[in-house]
Parts: sequence; C-alpha cells; structure tokens
Amino acid sequence: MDQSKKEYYISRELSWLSFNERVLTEALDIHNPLMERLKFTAIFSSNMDEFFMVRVAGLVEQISAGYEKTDIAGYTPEEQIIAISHQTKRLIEKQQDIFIQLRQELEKHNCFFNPEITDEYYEDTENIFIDAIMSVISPVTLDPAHPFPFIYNKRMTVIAALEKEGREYFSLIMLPENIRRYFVIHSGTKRIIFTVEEIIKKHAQKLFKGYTLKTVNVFRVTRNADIEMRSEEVADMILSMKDFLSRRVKGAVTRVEIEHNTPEYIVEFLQKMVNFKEMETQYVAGVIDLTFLFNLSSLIPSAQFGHHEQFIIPYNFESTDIFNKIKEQDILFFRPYYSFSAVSKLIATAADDKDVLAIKMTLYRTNRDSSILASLVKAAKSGKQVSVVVELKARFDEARNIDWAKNLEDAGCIVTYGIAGLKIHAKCLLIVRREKDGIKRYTHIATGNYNENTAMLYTDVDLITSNDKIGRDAAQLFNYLMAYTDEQNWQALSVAPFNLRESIYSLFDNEIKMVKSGRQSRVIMKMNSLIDKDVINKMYEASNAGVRIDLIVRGICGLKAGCKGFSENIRVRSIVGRFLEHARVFYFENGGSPRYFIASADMMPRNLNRRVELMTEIYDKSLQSSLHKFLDITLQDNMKAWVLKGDTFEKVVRNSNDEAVNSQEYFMKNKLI
Amino acid sequence: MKTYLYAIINIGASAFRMAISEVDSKGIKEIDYLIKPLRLGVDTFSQGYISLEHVKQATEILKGFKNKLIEYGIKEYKAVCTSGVREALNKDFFIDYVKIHTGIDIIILEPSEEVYIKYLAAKLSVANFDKMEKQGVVFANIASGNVTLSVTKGNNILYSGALPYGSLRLRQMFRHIAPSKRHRAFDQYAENMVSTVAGIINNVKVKNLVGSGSSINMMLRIFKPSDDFILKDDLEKLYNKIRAYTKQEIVEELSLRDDEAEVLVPTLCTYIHLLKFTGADRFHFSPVDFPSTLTNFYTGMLKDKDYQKRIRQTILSFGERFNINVPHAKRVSKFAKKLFNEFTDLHSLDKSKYDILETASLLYQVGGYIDPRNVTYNSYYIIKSINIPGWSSKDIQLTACVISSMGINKTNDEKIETQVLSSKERLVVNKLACILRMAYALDAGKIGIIDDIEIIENDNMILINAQVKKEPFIELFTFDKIKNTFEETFGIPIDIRTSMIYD
Repeated sequence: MDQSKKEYYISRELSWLSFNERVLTEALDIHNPLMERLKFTAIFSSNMDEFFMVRVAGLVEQISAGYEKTDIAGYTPEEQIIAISHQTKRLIEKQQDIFIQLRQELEKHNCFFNPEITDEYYEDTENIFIDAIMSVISPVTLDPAHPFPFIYNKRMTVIAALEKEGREYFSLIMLPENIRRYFVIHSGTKRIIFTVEEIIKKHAQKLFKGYTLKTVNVFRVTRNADIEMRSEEVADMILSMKDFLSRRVKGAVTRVEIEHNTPEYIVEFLQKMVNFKEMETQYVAGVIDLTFLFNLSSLIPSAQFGHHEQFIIPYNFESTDIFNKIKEQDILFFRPYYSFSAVSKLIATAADDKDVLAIKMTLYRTNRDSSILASLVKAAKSGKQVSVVVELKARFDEARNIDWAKNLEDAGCIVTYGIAGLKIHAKCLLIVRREKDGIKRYTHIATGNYNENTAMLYTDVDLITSNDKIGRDAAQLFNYLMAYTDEQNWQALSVAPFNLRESIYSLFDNEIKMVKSGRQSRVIMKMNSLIDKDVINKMYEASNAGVRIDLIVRGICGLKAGCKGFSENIRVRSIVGRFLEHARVFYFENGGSPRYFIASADMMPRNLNRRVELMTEIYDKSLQSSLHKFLDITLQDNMKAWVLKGDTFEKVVRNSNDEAVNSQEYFMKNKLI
Repeated sequence: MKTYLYAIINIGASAFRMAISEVDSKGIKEIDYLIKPLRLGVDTFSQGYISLEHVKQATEILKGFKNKLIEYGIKEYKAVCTSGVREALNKDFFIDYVKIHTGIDIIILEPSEEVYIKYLAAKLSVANFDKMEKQGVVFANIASGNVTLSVTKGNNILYSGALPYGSLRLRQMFRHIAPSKRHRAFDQYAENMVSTVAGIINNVKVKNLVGSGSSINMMLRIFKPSDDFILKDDLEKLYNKIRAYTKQEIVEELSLRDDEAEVLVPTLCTYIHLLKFTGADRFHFSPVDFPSTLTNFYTGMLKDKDYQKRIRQTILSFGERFNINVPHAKRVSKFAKKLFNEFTDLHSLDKSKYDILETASLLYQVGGYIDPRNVTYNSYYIIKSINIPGWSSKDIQLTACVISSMGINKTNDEKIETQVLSSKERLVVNKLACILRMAYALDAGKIGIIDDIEIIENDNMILINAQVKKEPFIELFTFDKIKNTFEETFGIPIDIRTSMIYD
C-alpha cells in the first residue's frame, strides 16, 4: 500500500466541517425538543467561531509565512482555505435555512423572532433603544480626528452610512461585550424576540441628529486567537499566559460575517479598513452569530430535554469506607449516566482522612464552584500534601485556570504548571494513604475532565482502582509532571508522548499476528478524533491483513472507510446526540482474550506527540463486560449515528423492521454497572 | 519489626536519584524512585569545583526530593554524595548551601565505603559470585567519576579502591581531542589503570569480571542480554564500530540519551581493558542499582556474614607484604580484644572502635619495614594511605593515630598526627592506644610466653592474671613501664601477676 497517496485520507479541516454539519443536522431532528434544536444551531455557530479563531487562523499564518506543507490529504494551506470557504458558505446557508424552519416552529409556540418593527412594536423597541441601548453604545463617526477604530474579535458592529450637506460619512458602533443580544416583548400571550442590532437599525437615526441616515448594516469580525506561547516566555508560565491573554485580542482577521444586503461600496470600505479579503468575507442572509440561541431555551422550558436523573454508582460510596471498597474491587462508571459525585466524594473523603498523606491531581478544565477544589484546599489546610498540576493552556479557559491556581497556592497546595511544550491532558488523581500493611495508592483515571458541570453533559468513563502497578505509574507520572524525576519506566500505564503511540501500534500488531495465525481478531476504538497518519496507516495495515475494525469517531476522521484495497474491513460510525461523546474506549480481541482500555488521548499527532495523555487497561472481568456492552450498544445506534462511506458521513437509516436504538437514551435508562 | 519508610538520596556525578522504600522484617519494597540528570561531575572533573549555577540547580532538584520526604512523612533517610561532590573543592559550600535551602543533610560517601557497599550488593545478587571469588574476581563499578575496583581471591581482598578513571571524567579530560582519535586517549588511560592495579596485586591471576554502576542500564538497553552477562566480543564489535563517532551519531545509531552517548566510548573501553586483564570472555553484571543498594545497606538488610573474617584476612595479607610478625600480631590482637571487652565499663566505646583496635593491633608493626627504630611513626603513614572495604577515611585515620599514640614519649596533644582530630576523637584514640599498649606489653618478647589472661577487677584496682609457660621477663618489664598510663587514662591502677601453666 502506497502510504503517500493523498486519496487514502480525508482533510482534517473538511472532516471537522463535516462534524459540525452533523451537529447542525441535529437541529433538524424532530425527535429533539424545539429549544434543544435551537441549541444545536447555537453550538454550530460557537464551533464555527472557534474553528475560525484557531484552525483557519493557523492556515492564514502558514500562508503568510510562505509555508506550503500539505495536509494529510495533500492540500496546501491555500487550497484548504479555499475548500473551507466553499464549505462554510454552504453550511451557513444551511444554518440560516434551518433557523427559518425553527422560527416557524417557534411561532407555533406563540414566539416571534425579529418581525418587522411596525407601529405595533415601535414604541416598545424605542423604549428599549433609549433605556437599554443608547446609554451603552458609542458611535464613532469617522473624520480626520476620529480614525477607523480597532474592531475587536467577535464583537457585533453596526456601520451606518450618513449624509450631511452633500458629504458622506461612515459611523461605526461596536456593541459592548455586556450588551444584551436580544430583548423579549410580551404582548398578550405572544412573545416577540428582537435582536439588539434590529432595534439599533430601526432607531439609529436618533443617534445621528443633523445627518441623513442612508443605510445601516451589521458585521462581525473573527480574529486569530491561537497565538502560540514563545519558548523564551515559558520561564514564568503564569506571567507569560497573562501576557498571552492580552495579546490574543489583537489577532489577524480570519473571517468577517456581513449582512448579504450590505452595499458593495461599504463592503469594499470595510475590507480596506479592517484588512480582509473577499475570501474571508462571509455574507449572511439572515441573523449573524446565532450563539445567543443557547440562552433562548429557557423561554419555553417544556420544549427542552427532560430532567436527567443520573444513576448513583452501586458501591455504596456515600456511606461506607470508600478505601476498603476500592480495595475490594476496581470501580468503573460512565458519565453522565452515572453521577460524577463519586469522584467528588472520594476526594472529600481523602481530604478528611487522617491516614491520607498526599493527594495529587491534574487539573485541565474545572468548574469555578468546584467542590473538588474546595476539598483540595481543605486537605492542604489540614496538613496533607496536596499537589496540583494545572494546565493553563486549556483553550480559552486560561484566565479561569490562573484564578484556581492562585487560590490553591494560597491554601498551601503545591501547584505546578507541568512541562514546557507539553500540554497536560491526562486526567489523573492519586491518593497516597498510610495503612496497616504499608503505603497504599488509590488512583482515579478518566477520559474526561474534573468538571462537575461538564460531567452532566459529556460522555466519559472513570476508573477508580487500588491496583499497585497503576498506582506506581501514576506516582511516577506526577513525579515527572512536578519535575521531580525524568524516570520513564511505565509498567501498567501507557503515557504520551512516551509510549502510548507504541502501545497502540503493538496492540494492532498483535491483532495482525492473531488474524494471520487464524485466531480471533477485532478492534473497536471509540474516540473523538482520528487524524494521525501513522495510526491510520496502522489501521489500514490491520484491515489489509483481515482484522475487522469498528471505529466510533465523534469528530475529525482522516481515515476513509470501507475502501477497496486499503480499508475494506474498517467501518466508521459517529454519534452526535444530546450529550457530547467524549469517552475514549478501546477494545482489542487478542485471539479471544479481549483487552479493554480507556484513554484521555485521541489519535491525533498533538495528543500522541505533544500532550501528556494516559491510557490504562481495564483488568476486572465484570468491568470489561460493562465496557463491552457500552461499545456494543453504541455500535447498534440507529437514531443518532452516522456512517462514513468513503469520505462522506451519511446518517444511518433505520430499517423499518429494526428496533430504534438511541444509545445515549439507552444508557440513561439502563444501568451498565 | 514495624513497617517504616526509608529514603535514600544519591547525588552522583551525572544524576540525582532518590529511592523511597517500605522496610519491614520481610524485606524492602521500593515504592517510589526518582531520577534527575544533573552533571555535577562536568564541573568537578574539568574545573575542580561545582559552578554556582549547578549548585542552585542541584538545590532545586533536592527541594523536589524534600517534597517527597514530606509527602510520605519520612523521618529516616540518608543523602549521600559520591565523587561529583566529594572531589569538588567547594564541597563544603555545596553541602552547606543545600542544607540551608532544603534542610537536607548530605554525607560524603568515601570511595572505600562506596566500593564495599557496591561489592556487597553484587556479591548478594550475581549468580555464582562466591565461586568467582574463589577463582579470583575483579569487581568494577564504572561510574561517572571513578572506577571503583575490588579485586578478591578467596577470602583475600587484594585491592580495593576508587580510581579516577570514571567515564565522564575521561570524557571531560579528553574533550578537546577530536572524536576521530579520542578513543586512543581512552585506550591509553584505561591501560594505565589496569597496569596500576596489576602492580598492586602482584599480578595475581583473577579470572572473572563483575560490573555494576549506572552504566549497566545503558549497556543492557544496547546489548539486551538474555542472561546476566555481556560478551567481550560484543563489546569489542560495538566499540570498534562507534569509537570514532560523534556524540550525535551515537545518539542516532543507538537511541541513547545525550548524556549516555557521551560516556559510551570510555565505558566500553574500560570494560574491554578490564576483560583483557582478567582474560575473561564476558563480564557479569549486578542488576541492583546504587540507591537500592544503599537502602539495603543502611537499613541493615544487606549483611555480609563473612565480613569480619575477610577483613581480618585482608589486613593480615597487607601486613605480610610489610613482613610483620604474624603470630605476634595475632597474639597482640587477641589480648587487645580481650582487654577491650573486659574494660567496657571503663572505656564506654562502641563496637566500631573494637574494629579499629583490632586493625591497629594487627598492623602496628608495618612501619618496621621502613625503619625498625621508628616503627609506630612509619606505621602511621602507611596505615593512613590504605583502603579497607567499608571503612571511612576517618576510621582509617583513627587507626593510624592509635598506632602513632602507642609510644609514650609524647602526649596526644603534642603529636602532630593527632592534632587534626577533635578532642572527643583524641580521647577515643587515647583509650584505644592505652589498651593496645597493654596488649603489646603482654607479648613484648614476641614469643608468646603469655598464653592467656584473665582480668580481676575490684573497687581499687585491676589485676591481670597472666597464664604463662615460663617467666615473662620482657613482658613484665614492659608492663611495668607503661602501667601508669593506664591509670592516667582510665582513673584506676592496673597490675599484673603470673600463673604458671604446667603440662
């Protein structure tokens, strides 16, 4: 197989756009309540923002640096930008079409969105304009004394064309960050929703007395947010990160969303003044930036997902001696179907336990009001050694992370910021306890963050174990992350960037060996993204050898499925549903003695080469069977599943005879453990 | 025995290591192990002192290690340093700086202690070591700073000491020579080391080589031996291939770390020369690393049941090279030990002083080889220069001072030799020298007239009842001359009477 053939792979950026289209398509699914469909529309917009701030920004930088290296599918940065631009145009049109449909659905609930501001609403909107908008906006009418202002990232901006005494003027109103995006007017049983820009447009003349208002339009600039920290700045991570945060504001323009009816001369004027090209201009026939739809959901509570009652893990964690329970048996549970409170409880118990000597954990993204942080502070204050490895580089969460870091330090915790150049993505907690028969280590390893909020929205798997070898490796991991050691002698865990990649290869090689010797072989891997070319090639190699491979990939997938000659035995599915699929679970048949793993890592170069990631095997037979069921049901999903055919994801169509399987709903109703 | 935690911090010339272990009656279980590379030896072996930058880096590493001590609540630990610090001119500053900034007390491990501990670990971990010992074995610990060698045959330790031929030291010494011919310098230097040792052991044939040291892990990764030995042919093959490579070429060829690649050629060269010296076709290796060995040693888990016997034999062999009167030495030793044990209440000295007294009694005559008229003076200088496995240089010095103080011409305060000692140490030397003097008097004629003694002690004085074969004129004369020093030392008069033994 010629691995240099670009035809074997799917472009990362296009694959991501395809994922976001799957998210958007959820807004069409009539099985989802209306307000949740609006939320999916909002998620699509929010995802797009991040995509342009990070991924497209990276491509723009590559082009300006003259970097011509092609991606996995053989596209140059320039070709990628062109392809992205075409796809994005199509997707935005699709989103606006969907939004029109959803507006019609809203009307059935007596909710009306941005109707024309006729006499019926004039007074109400005028009051809003005068009371809530006029006082917080500052129009800048351009003249030699008032040059074109800097337009901040993601800030909705109004441009008005004015005329006075035969001369034309432009005035800009950059909406402040804290301004409300929409206002709801109640009229009998009707609720009318107006976006702030629609109200401004209607009443803008009041801002420009003495001028004739010719046109008013809205645009929004997206800028580069992914300024990499320079190595010389790493010495004091926090300081450099603060600097990084302030610098992020002034990135290069990567996209400008502009109303499609904006006069051409105004578009050209903006392109010149804001410095962007036609390629970066995104004409929107509808409402720009639908992220606000997140907040609309409370408008019709009955049209939201019903309350999800999480299961409590069946180990009686709440009332019994946690540590003895863990010693009796490893504990595995699935978020969000099971409550994450088991982990919070474990940490709280450790904080109170007189025999606990030390608590160590990685902290990537956590919630501001985290009970875990409170427990850590309590433990430190009671004299236990609490070590926290904080990853400041969690995208867009840096400011929040710096706050925690300081709070923890003030409480006496040892806070470190990991290893320069390696983002800490592993989710690991280690409790060191002095017991009668010596030192005992309790380890928690998860596929998801220590975040009590996202634990209710993301699907993840958690393992709590007293396994000696796992504990030893976890201790070594923390020693490494805290710069106490350079030792790399992993006995039970696979750790990126050290041996995780090799472990994956060796598991595949073993399957190849099995199939060649006529023994049972099969691989199931559930992950968020698959774009590492070497891992993909290993999968192709296994497929060619006859190993059956089932991949469940939520997002980016650079592998082409079911293609003759290289991936005939590979099937790829993707689940997009109520919860964000986040668990990484791997199954290797191993000739009939299956091996199961959970991991924090996706199969991406950044995860395998530039991040600290963990993969651990699940040894306990009963836990293995839970994982098996989890994978099995996920593969049976025919309600929220997509299947990759060649390079295109298609929604799985359920045969009329088949029972409907929505895996997430199944796990909400049926206990896995 | 209650389970407790014990930590070892080992400050080597190339890296800092820490082993944390659980110790109980069943043995030792290592629960945490840390390693941080920091090449203090680069400073010490090239400029003679540790740079301030490295002192600070070392302190940062040790702060991390201190955190581990706190994490586990460890009270018992030892932080030991070897040649990288030991040979640095500013070692006292280093130790003090670390103490002030981390609270960690560092002790310097003497070369003889280092080699003894490593030898002991190899003896207990390498298969058939005892058999190899009988045939003669060179035990080599190739570290960054020194090559510590112990050459043993039977119960006799022919040589034991640390030689300044460590791999990093060699690399630093010859760093200005081009890689293409640097190996020739290593060759010459290693050859020189081997001939030095051969000279010391009088070319006694030894047939086996056992290696240990941090270089072993690197060798294991390169050669991946299936058994506990590596063949000379394999070493030579690799050496011939890479000896002229640059460090980067070695890194790429063998996937080694930078610091490992730097010392690989001198390490291979040293092993090859040692193998040529022994005539062996392979060297065996000890899989136990140094921090684990130290843990075992300091927790008392590493026991050498034949230690005393071997040391005694080694000391006597050493004495024989200086033509001592061995039967006389044994008799003086016997009397000295008996007096030491009988006078426990008087001297209050611990067991380690017993060993010093025994060694001093066996070796006091060596100075006669140089000048019979000035025996103890010359013995002092000879003893001061020897290495005894497991002994610190302080122990050796105390032994030499005991011998030097045997004579009664000058007090210890007046002797130059003992002026480096603290007043407490001088007191110890006084007591031991006094006992040795008594023991010597009991065989002053050197013909063994006094067969045995028994001590009779009452409130007012001590009486030695000597069992004699015939009347011991010289012994009684000598005893009479020195008995006052006993009273001056221990505050109680002593005398002697004889009882004739009849067949």
